[in-house]
Formats: sequence, structure tokens, C-alpha cells
Amino acid sequence: MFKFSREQKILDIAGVKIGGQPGQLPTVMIGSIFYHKHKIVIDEKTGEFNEKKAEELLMKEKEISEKTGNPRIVDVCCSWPQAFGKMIDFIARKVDGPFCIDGATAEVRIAGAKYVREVGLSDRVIYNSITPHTREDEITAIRDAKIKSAILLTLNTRNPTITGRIQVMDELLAIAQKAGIENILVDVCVIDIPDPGPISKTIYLVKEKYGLPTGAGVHNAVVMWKKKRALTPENYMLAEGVANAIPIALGANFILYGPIEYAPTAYFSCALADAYVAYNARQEYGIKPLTNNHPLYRIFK
Amino acid sequence: MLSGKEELLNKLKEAAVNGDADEVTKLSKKVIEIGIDPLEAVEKALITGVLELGEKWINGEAFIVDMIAAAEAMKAGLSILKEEIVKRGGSIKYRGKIVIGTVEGDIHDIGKSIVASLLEAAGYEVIDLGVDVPAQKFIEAIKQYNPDIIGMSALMTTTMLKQREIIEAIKQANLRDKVKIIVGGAPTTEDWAKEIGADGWAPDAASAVELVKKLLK
Repeated sequence: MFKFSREQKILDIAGVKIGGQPGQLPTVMIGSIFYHKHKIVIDEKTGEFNEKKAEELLMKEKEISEKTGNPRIVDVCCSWPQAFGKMIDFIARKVDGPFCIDGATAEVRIAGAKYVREVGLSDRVIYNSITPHTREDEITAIRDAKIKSAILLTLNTRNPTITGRIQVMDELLAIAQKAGIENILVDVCVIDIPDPGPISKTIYLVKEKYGLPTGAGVHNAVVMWKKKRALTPENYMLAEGVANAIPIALGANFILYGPIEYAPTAYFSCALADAYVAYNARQEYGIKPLTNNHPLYRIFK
Repeated sequence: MLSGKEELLNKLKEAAVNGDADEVTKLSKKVIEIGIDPLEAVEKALITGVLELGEKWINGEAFIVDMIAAAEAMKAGLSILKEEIVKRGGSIKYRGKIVIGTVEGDIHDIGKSIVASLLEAAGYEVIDLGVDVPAQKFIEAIKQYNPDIIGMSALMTTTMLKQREIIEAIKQANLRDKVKIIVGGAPTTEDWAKEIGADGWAPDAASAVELVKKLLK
């Protein structure tokens, strides 16, 4: 395997450490809740949801996270501006540490930013996401909300290749700076079925050039595949596992693994990949995990 | 043995299929320089090339990135060859004309832009109205461009309601029978498309191209 020649940033976002050289820290797992058509959501418009079921999902994920050693960050998805507050409140009460606010449009994300400022949660929030198309009003809302952490999405609709994704990085960094973002995570933007290959190399290149914590939502690629060609449940889960593992082998620091219901298999595959990578880093470079909670010390028990 | 003309057109086709915009630009200029009919170059090289690629894409042998690159390369070639075609009094025969846009209140661009690129790469003329497009702009586009199909994207449950409003506005303007209307976007469904009186719905970019082909058969 490898280590990066460039020094790698390790961020501490509300208690969750993310980044570093391969083998230093466990992959941070970002799972989505209250996403569009999530069964536990009763009314997307008002933000009404089944609290008991939501809590069960969060508890289950917490247990798995503690078991494998992979920290979790909950991605709070929302489609309606007026619904965001209720969802954010709940997650902030039930989850320790950081969480993402992930609105379907700028209007929803702006509503989320204003809300976290009002209730004093800005320090715990990761804004998901800033793209090259992020407008001035959204940048102002992030800055005004004093949100310091964000995911930058390397979206390049005219050139969604490794090169195209890297090309938008400087533009994204300039937008992030304007928005007052200090803790930068880079999502290398999956758009097609075989993307887990090239986005993994993009992760490597972004980290080698910028040293920033980088990751991806490879689950989207597998879902697109499933929609196009019928996959057996076994093959679907295997595909998720492979798609999760390859970016980790190329240095990914976080995986957006999709619906929170997928936690059991997603954590298992990522933890195993983490353990393999960490064991190599230890043998080849003498790089040891920075925490005893690393999957290397847990998964094989 | 291939003639110089055939060889050049083959190279142009290959460059378009490979998504090599620089090479397509260079070869398109050469087409004009040596006096090959530019319309023939568009039809036999650029459009034929992207159609072949489209088939590969449907068969799972090519991918979105290939289709977008081919569409960009084709645009580069067209920008050079179109001018010469018009000078000669001709016009390009596309497989159909599509006006596409993300509805008012919604600034989501990704899905719509990918669909536009894929349609271009599949040989359709696409007029992209961009994002946050009000009903009036769709109506003006129908009058101005006389498209075969209007495609409306909406990413939010809030803005998908605009798809219904825009269809109603098109009806009010007595233009509904002039175009077919298709809708798409994350919150939309086939039932929704039926409910609002659209002619078709596509769950993703690949299906959108298939739907357009089916509607224009």
C-alpha cells in the first residue's frame, strides 16, 4: 500500500477525529436519516417523524459504531425548510458530537443554517454541501451562521472525470473560505455506476495535493446499478462492501454509506478495510493507529 | 482503400466517440478547408458516432462520462460546421428537438444537465433553459423553438408541484397539443406524471433518453 508524501490534516469536529495517513484513524461513517421517502418520516413537509423508530435506528448505529470503532456522523436530510428545525433538534438531543445538515436545495440548507445559529448548534454542524454552483445567498447564510465545518463536493457536470473533479478543488476552497469554513471535508462526488474506481483515485490525488480529509458516497453508485440491473440481495450487499472498501484502500477518511438502516453491513465492510489498511501501514511504515478503538484491534476479536 | 474524405470523416467520428473535443475541432476545420460537405460531416461522423456510443451506453459498454465527453466534443464540432452549413443554405437533421429545464424555485442543475448532455450525445437537439425556469419561459420556448418534447426537472417535493402548474399554463396557452411533456427528478413518480397529465416520466438520466426515443418513434 502507501502513505501520502504530503502531511495529512487531522480535524477534530465536535469530538470526532477525521483525516490523517492510511492506518492512523478509523473511517468515519456518515449515514443518512430522514432522507426522501424514509419510512420513519410521517410528513416531510412538517418534519413529523416516528421518534421511537428514529431513536431505535440511532441506538443501533451507535452500538455498531462502538463495536467496530468507526466514529459516526449522522447526515440529517430534509426537503422542506420548515421541517428542518424539528429534525435538527431531535438529532442534536439524541446524538453526541457532530452531525451534517443536508438539505435537498439551497433554500432548505439555508433554513437549516439559520436554525442552527438561532439555537446555538453551529459548532456541531457540518454543512453538506458546498459545490461550485453554491450561490452568494447560501455562502452568506453559512458565514452568518458561523458554521465552521463543511463538505465540499467536487461536482463537475461538464467533466465528471478524475481530472474534472480535481479541477474544481481550488474554486471550492475559495468558496469555503468566503463562507468562513475552517474544517474542510472533501466529497469526490459519485455520479455513475462504475465511479467507485475513479473516485477512489481522486481521493488519493486530493489527499496527496491538499492533505485534506476526503471521502465519498459510493453507496449511490451501487443504488444506481441496482435500479438499472436487478442484483440479488446477496450480490447487492457484496457490491456495497466492495464499493466501500476500495476508496478506503486508496486513503478515504469517511464514507457516506447511505440510509442509516445499512449500518450493520456498511460498518462491517469499512471496519475490515480499515483493519487491513492499518495492518499494512504498521508493517510497511511503522504507522500505528492513533486510537485503541481502531477496527484493527476490534474486528478480529 | 478509403478515400481522403472517408478517412477524414472516420477520424472525425472516432474523435467524437472518444470525446476528444480538441481533435474534433481540428478535424472539423479541416473538413471545411478541403471542401467536404459540412452537413455530411455532421451526419456521417458526429451524429453517427454519438449514436453508436449511445447504443454502447444502453448495453452497459459506455458510461455517463463517455456520453458527456462525446456531447462536448460534438458541440465543439457543431460550432464550426453549423456556420458553414447555414452559409450553404442547409440545416442539420437531428432525431428530435428537446427543450429542457429545472422548474421555477428549484436551482438543482446536476440531473438536468446530465440528461441534456446524454440527449445531445444521443443525437437530439437540446435547448437547455437552465434552472429556476418559470412557466412563461417554457411557453416562450415552445413558441420560439417548436420542440418535440419539453422536459421538466424538479428535485424537491415543493417544486415538483410547479410541474403541474407549468403543464396547466401550457394548456392555457393552447400549446399542449404541440408538444409532448416529460418530467423527472428525485421526488417524482410515474403516478405523479400521470396525475399531472405528462406524457412520460423517467427515474434517471438513462431512462430519460429511452423515454424520448420511445415518444418520438
